[in-house]
Amino acid sequence: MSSDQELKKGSTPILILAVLADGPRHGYAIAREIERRSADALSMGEGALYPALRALEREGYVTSEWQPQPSGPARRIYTLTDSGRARMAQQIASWQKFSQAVDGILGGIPHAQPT
Amino acid sequence: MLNPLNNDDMDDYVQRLNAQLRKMPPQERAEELRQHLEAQARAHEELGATPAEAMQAALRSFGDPARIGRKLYWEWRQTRRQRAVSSLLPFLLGTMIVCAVPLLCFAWMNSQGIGDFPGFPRYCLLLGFTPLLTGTLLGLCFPRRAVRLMVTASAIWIASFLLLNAARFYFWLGLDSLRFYQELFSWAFWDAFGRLTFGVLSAHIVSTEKLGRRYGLRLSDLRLRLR
Repeated sequence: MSSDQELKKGSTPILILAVLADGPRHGYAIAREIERRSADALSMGEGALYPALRALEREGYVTSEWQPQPSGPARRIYTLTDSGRARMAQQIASWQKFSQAVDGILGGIPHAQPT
Repeated sequence: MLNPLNNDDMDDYVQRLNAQLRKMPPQERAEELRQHLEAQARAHEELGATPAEAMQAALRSFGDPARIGRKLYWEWRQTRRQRAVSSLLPFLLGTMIVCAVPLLCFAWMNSQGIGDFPGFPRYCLLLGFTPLLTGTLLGLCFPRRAVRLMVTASAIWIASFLLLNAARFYFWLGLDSLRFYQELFSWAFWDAFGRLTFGVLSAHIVSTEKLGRRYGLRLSDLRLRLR
């Protein structure tokens, strides 16, 4: 799949992998961390998060485990695998290439001034 | 102290979600999403929303439960198929090796003039491969019932073998030219029985945990019917 197609497909997987790169988290924490890091500019569709996590798990990029909590019920914790880390690096490189290309085009356009 | 969450709305939501996940094992269903919804609703409450408003906001941000359920089920099914295929491959490979070894032995004996077994390829492939593959598949399909399965599978095999013998099918196969023709019935019978048992046992030993509990592989998944 080309980098263009990958980017069109959506950036949800790369965001999830990037958040998990800092350590294992459960689904809710992943969603909140994406919001926090993007200063609420990016809001994860909560319902879309879990199918995306399942897809990443199927591909072997993350693993999950139900872990008992000191208080409350067990939670499913997701962890990035080595292959997920490699995939993330690959996707970051694709994203940067795409971003630089767009910047190169948009950088030459004068900003519209508010009237 | 936060007010109790409006659980009726959530129960209704989770129920609609679970309706799409009926075939999945209980631990794979919506418990994780329920926990997420609860946490999100509590976060809204901490920001000053009423319990009802908080739950409605959490449910809104999750989206259509039927759509999410369908996506989750699709992912689970893909994962299960992928794992089932990867688990089946070693068995198929093993089965092929077990058939190939006697095939090569017969071929070598023929070439060396040790014996003359013109019917051996068909024997090795049909009478050898079929019970082994049958046993392996049955063992994979019923991973938790190996002992009962072995008895049942053996009974099925014996019945079908007797039926085929009654039709004198070995003449049709050309096995009459085998040197051990006189003992074909008992020899082939025990060979087939051994292969079937080996298949069931090997599938059982390797797959009990993996296929039975985690993926819930059933006979119906392989589109076979055992009557």
